[in-house]
Amino acid sequence: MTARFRISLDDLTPNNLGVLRRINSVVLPTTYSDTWYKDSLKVGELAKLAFFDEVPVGAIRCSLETGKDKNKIYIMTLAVLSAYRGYGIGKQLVEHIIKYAKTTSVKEIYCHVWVGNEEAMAWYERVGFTKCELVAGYYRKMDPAGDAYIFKKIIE
Amino acid sequence: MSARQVPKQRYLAPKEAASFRQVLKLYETHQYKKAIKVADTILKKYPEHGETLAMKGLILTFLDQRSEGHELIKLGLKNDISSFICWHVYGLFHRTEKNFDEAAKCYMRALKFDPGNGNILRDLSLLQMQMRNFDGFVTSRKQILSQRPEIRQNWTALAVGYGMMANYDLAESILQKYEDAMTEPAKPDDTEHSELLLFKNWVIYQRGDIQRALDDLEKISAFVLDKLCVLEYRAKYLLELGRLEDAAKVYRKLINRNPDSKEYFVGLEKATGVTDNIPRRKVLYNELAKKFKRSDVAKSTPLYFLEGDEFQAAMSDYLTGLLSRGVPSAYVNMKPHYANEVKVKAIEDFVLKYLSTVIADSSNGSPSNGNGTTNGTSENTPSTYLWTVLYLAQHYSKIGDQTKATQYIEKAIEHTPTLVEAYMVKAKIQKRSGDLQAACETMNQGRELDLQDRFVNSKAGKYYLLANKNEQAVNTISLFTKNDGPGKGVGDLHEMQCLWFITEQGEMFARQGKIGLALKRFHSVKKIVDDWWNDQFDFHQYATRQGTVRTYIDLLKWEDSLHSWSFYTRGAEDAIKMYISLYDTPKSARAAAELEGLSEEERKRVIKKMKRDRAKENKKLEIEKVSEKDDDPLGKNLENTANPLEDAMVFWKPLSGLKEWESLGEEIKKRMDVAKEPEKVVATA
Repeated sequence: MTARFRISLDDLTPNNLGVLRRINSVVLPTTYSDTWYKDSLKVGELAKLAFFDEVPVGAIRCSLETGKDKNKIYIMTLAVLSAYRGYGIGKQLVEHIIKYAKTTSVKEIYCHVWVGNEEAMAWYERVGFTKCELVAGYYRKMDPAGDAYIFKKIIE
Repeated sequence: MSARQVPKQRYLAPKEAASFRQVLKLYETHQYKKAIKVADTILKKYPEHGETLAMKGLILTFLDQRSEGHELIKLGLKNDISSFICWHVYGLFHRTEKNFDEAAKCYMRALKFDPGNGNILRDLSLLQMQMRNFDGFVTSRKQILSQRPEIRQNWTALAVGYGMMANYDLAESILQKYEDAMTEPAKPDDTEHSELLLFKNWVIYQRGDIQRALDDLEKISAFVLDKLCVLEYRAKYLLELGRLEDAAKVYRKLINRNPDSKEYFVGLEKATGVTDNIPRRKVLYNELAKKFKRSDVAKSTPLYFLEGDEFQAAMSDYLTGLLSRGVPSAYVNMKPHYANEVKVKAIEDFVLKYLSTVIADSSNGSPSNGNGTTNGTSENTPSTYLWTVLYLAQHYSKIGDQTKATQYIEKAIEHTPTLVEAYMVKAKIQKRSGDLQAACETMNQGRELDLQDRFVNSKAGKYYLLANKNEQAVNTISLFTKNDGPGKGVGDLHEMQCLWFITEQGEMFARQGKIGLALKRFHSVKKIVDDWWNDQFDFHQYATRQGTVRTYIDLLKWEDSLHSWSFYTRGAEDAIKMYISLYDTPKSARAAAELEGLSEEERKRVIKKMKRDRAKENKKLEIEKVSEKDDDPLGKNLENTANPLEDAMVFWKPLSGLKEWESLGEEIKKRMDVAKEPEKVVATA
């Protein structure tokens, strides 16, 4: 049977920045500033939109952290509209970042996941991330402050 | 001409005579500045020389010195009233002023003094065609043809003239004579010749002799380059001759070439004789839909003639296809059937049922393994649900149930808050519910999702105008216009002849009581449509030279219907009504009405405040200039007209003769009669 739907990724541009805003605002509990969205246009391959049959339904936005010993990519936001989960859209977005990392000097991709988000933790493990240290009180704005696990993927 | 005695006032010494010929040459090659210099040397010696004065005047009009040029032309004519050059020049001047009637009169005078002048005859014939004076056109063209029978376009042009008079016998005989006179056969890639053959064939068909048209078509088909046209003509002729089987074959060939042309399907229906036989008609379309899987015409046409259960079955098949594939135009494709209440109900029942199966499917077969394949057995994806609820929102909005429409559109947006179309539908529902403020905000939300989508940008601009938000409208729409001119994008939108914007903005100004600005926009609408009418002028010569006369005749007919189209009538109706109300309530009465029942002191205060507010507002609106030269950006001159009824008449004139606009014309005329009456009373007293 031929695929009944098509998933594709596309660049973030000034013209579709509104889509990243909308997806993040309905999926994520955190609000991001205008500056943060503006900066999203400067990170190149580290920000992508995902389309399900031409309709934008998911987005990833990372940042590059340059350090003395090694460079890392930090996943700041990864969001897929709830109706479109389970179709491998998030996976394609993360895989895009992994693939991109391999073409650079980046040695590690990591992110924070709230300890209460079982679904997300299981998902990161499925796409090849490892659960690492606990950061107590990472989500300061939560009441009480929420703890987070760091999930890592080492790039060889 | 040399044989004739040169009148005294026209005489030039040989040196100046040579200079004058040089002026004519420089004019023809558009070297205007040089031409003026040479003309001036002639005028030094012969300051009264009429032809030189006229030529200089004409050239000045091309150098943007219209009034000065006009004066010189008139002076030249006065000094040499029997010169064909002076009259020709005056005619050309009128032509550039679009005074076609006056121009034609001048050319006629010029021809009186130089009968048979080819250039003037040609210019005259172009005007005659522009004014649809076919008798005059044919007369001029006959003369031109007798002078230069070796030129093909002279034959074509005369035949076109006869064609426009519906005198197809003469049209054919002219074309036949040209063919007979051809000394050598046309080259195989001669498109003009090919077009001329088809034109003649069209003429024969117009005479009503279909068999002869068909015979002629078979004879010429090898020399005609437009093979598609040969097929189309052949199919039509065979059908009209009653040779149905042959016609059907040709129509099938045509459908093979283009399975999306409704016309071919209709032809095939007639040729197979199924038009009035629904079962057979259905069989035909079933067969065609199987053969041409991507043809929408084949699939959707049966929905027009099927009823009851058969409609139900065909419609559900068709709609399932559209909804499951997420075709954004699903609703638009179905819209024609909304005139039929029974069908509307059937559509509603089906889509509701379809939605419930989609929901049931997704709850027991939702994807979970994350590999891009689903565990469910269903064909449905999240988009199916999305497009189905979107359809229902459009459906309920169309049938007037905005509450249900709102429920469904909210479902769509909750499910996929990133779909531009969903916001557009929601905005429309809000508009229909009467909440224009919310509607424009919603449309803008949609716009923000895709800034490079000009369609949603225009829609947002339009919805702002509907909500009387001029500033947001202009700012939004200016994201897509050239903004180095005046008034942000407004100038460019005039330049681009963007009728919908100009009309909507005019209507907004009218709602806001900004009479001058509103009238100004309505005048812009008229000017644009008039420009389209004037634009055909260039084609009178071009089309006959290129030989594309069948298309040209279509163009002439299109131009003739131009002012009856809604893009003109809407703005014209607005303007006429506004002028009538200006007449009914003169300025003083309008002001008095606003101040009624106020004390003297209050009155003063209100007037002062009104003045202040208006000045403030006007300052803002003055940027609405529509061109660099716009010296009345607020349309004050239009608003302060002394003759509102005559101004209204200008808009109504192109509508005269159209039945649906008769009563509006009566409204103007009635008042004009009343306006005249007092004089009568005085006269009889």
